[in-house]
Amino acid sequence: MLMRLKNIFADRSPRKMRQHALEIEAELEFHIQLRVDDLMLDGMPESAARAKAKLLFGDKESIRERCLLVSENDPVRRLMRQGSNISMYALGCALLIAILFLSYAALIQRPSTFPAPGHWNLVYHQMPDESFSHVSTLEQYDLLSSENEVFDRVTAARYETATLKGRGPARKIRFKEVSKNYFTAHGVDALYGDLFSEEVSDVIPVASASLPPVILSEDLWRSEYGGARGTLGEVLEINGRSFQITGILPKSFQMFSPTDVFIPLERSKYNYSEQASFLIAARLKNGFKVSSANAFFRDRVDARHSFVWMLRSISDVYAGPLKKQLWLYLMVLGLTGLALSMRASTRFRDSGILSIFAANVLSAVLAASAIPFLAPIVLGPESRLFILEISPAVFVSLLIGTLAISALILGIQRLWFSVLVRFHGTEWTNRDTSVREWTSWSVAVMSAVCLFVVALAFDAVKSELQFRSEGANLDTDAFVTSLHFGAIEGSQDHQFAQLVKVGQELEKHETLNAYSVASFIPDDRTEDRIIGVVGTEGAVHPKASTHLAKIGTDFLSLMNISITEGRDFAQLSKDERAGAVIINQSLATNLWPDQSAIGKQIRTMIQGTQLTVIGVVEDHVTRHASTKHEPLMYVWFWRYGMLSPAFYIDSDQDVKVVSATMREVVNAVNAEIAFTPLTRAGYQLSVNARRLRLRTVLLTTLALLMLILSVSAFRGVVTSSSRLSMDRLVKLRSEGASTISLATQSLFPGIRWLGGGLLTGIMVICFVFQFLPDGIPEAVSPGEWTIIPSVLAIVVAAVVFSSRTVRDAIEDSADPAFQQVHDIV
Amino acid sequence: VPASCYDVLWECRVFLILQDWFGAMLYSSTSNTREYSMGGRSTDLVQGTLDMLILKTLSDGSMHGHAVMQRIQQVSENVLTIEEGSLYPALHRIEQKGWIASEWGRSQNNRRAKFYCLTKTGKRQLKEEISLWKRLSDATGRVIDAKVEVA
Repeated sequence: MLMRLKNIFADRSPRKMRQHALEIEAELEFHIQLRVDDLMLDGMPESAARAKAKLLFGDKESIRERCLLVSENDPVRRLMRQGSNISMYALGCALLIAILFLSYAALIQRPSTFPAPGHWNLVYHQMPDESFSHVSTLEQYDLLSSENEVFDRVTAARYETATLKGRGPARKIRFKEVSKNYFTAHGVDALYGDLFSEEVSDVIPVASASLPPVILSEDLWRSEYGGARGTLGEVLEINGRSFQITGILPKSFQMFSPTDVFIPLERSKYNYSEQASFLIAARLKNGFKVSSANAFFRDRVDARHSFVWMLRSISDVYAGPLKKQLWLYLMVLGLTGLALSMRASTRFRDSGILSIFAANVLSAVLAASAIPFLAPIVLGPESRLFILEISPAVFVSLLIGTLAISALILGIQRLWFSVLVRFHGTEWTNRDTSVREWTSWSVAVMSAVCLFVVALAFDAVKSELQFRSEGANLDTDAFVTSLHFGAIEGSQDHQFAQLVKVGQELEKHETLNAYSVASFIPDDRTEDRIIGVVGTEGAVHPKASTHLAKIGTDFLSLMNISITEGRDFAQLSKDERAGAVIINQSLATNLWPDQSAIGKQIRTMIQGTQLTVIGVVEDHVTRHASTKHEPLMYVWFWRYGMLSPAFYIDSDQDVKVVSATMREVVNAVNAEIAFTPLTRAGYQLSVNARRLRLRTVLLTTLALLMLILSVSAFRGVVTSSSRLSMDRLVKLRSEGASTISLATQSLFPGIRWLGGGLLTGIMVICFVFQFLPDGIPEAVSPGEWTIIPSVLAIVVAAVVFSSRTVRDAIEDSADPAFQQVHDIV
Repeated sequence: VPASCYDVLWECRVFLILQDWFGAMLYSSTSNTREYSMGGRSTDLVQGTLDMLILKTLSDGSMHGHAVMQRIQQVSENVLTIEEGSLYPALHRIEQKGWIASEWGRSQNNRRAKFYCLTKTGKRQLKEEISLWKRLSDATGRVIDAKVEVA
């Protein structure tokens, strides 16, 4: 009893256990040395005697582990020590599943803020070049609203920023113009007051006696009005126009981006069939799925109207790119689990290994199901949004959440192991060869997943390096600020006039060296991007898709963008500029690969305008952290007007001085014009690149984690195969092999494992890629960075195969002659 | 699902190749589950017999692991050969139980070695083990020597 108590309270700290391990090592070494002495007394040379003594002694590592195991009372720790590879893999698997589920839950399966979110879809329409656009006109909205066969609800919304003047000082807000059925369709009730009903007029009345209604978000209501109920009925101004507060929207409702105020859609303000500004969301009727609805619209394209519709589920739209990668990741894990389960079920029918996997999955599901409840607590209310912009705060929260869930799963596993040990003992984890066989599979699969993640990390690092070398080539110190005129007041002509006034005011300030304006239209925002080459009438050029920049006369010189061929707008007369276009090298190469672009004519598809190419500029990135140079054409802003114009200002002054000057200028023109904080144009690039960098960091961290797990597993298995290596070496020595040859041979066990693991990994990845519905996503494509390790793996495998295989060694060792060789040695 | 279905699935296509590959690599140390062997043939004796043999050997005085092994082999006239893979875990297990104690000392050739000796508890345990073994042995002998009576 005393001894038992002593054992229970014995010091088993890591330091003590390390010391204990060293003592056992010394004890076993002493034993081997005595054996060597005995063999030498029989006349055997020392080296041969030592080799034979070790051979006779057996696996010293294993004996030492078993001795150490005796000192371990805790059954779970015994299990960990006894079946280190199994536990290692089981825990690694749990960690991966935890990461997967957390990412999945946080990015895709976020808590729904309205009923039946799976039925809601964003509606796209086909463009002339057969691509699809999600920005629609009122005409398209009306057409979709009448699609009673497919949809039961259709809503339209338009996003904008504006200046709000409520109780406090004027501030920038995000507002949304929504169709009158917007809230009823989503089944939202007001926190206080009333939301828009179907009866709200489409035309906002001008008379002050009946002001148009506005709905405030709960956040704005609390911050601006202190959460007072008396807010209802108050009047506020949005871009100088008065509205009456009629309701407060609970913050539990979110659809797309966060919004501060909602106003009813004013149809008369927009061109019915041309001004594409609306996002249309539609709810499918019961019985319709996205695929069947898309098929429905494909079949009846010409029957009723010329629009071809396409639906994408909302979660697909906002989490699609991530979803694909996660889905692939899930598939790899799923295949892993399937293979291991099959293996476990055939080899360990009476053991608990299958149960461990079941426990992993169950605990992960448990953890995942808890996320919708935990996320708002851990991540705050933002977790209810579509998390696309991964801010550092969210990133850290995800990291902490992952660790917390991993800890939870480890806890559950520990409990589960205790139960298994209680009922099965620890014997099932030590079935020697079978267990090692199983372990080898885990290593192979681990290396497969590892390779996949490493490929992702390589891709991310490559993008980062490419961005650094090619993307950040904007050589300018100019400041940039975007102007917001608000959507409610004023037409584009009015905005344009104000833009010119701002420019004129800027010229009065001597502290500013130069200024220019530009407006960049990404290629998915306007049909202006569709261009054709004059002379090829009727056909859209296959490489005609381009970004569009509407720029001021001095923009290129201000931004230090050099003209490689031809002239700048500044060198043309005002009349000439209107019909001129400058293109970048990428577009020039696309359209006229073997000849000069100067003097060539292109036409836009919408307006049919013919433009003459007057210059070609070098490729560069101005605002977006694109990983590659994309086609871009510059037109003179005067002719086309501007959407979301940005001022580029060259000044020797500090940013605060320039900012103050800008404020003074804007106030002189129109105090309601808002502008973003002035930043360096180059800095804006780095801001846009932050997401790219976060992705790199995240994936590299994950890859390192996987590498550590894989290397640990490799180490365990290679150690367990050392006996084979020993047998082989003794045999080769007996055959007169040189020391160098033996050294080379001794490397093979490790190389075999590495080569086999990598080879399997490549095979699994190729196998998975074959089943991707849309081919290989660009973000996860095994590009040239993946080819390098693949080729290396194949070379290693070829070397291993061409050498004497392990199977030879197995056969040799089973041969009685081999035993005789042992005796001789 | 019959187990054979899994086997069929398992053996098919790429798995066959992989299994062959890994099966070959997976040949590792032979199973080390024998506690001791007799005349080159493995013998599974009643669990705890090795403990008794060790305790009995140590009752002659303190000695290190190698000496314990040699002593058993010598006394049994090479009939019982204890493998190191069984001896040392057994020594540590018995020590944990408090039946033997250990201390580091110097061997005959002046090497640092760990010596084991029997404790009082160990002596009591040895008596119990021997008594149990004798009862078992007698009982086994009686079964072997019993005449078969045909009803």
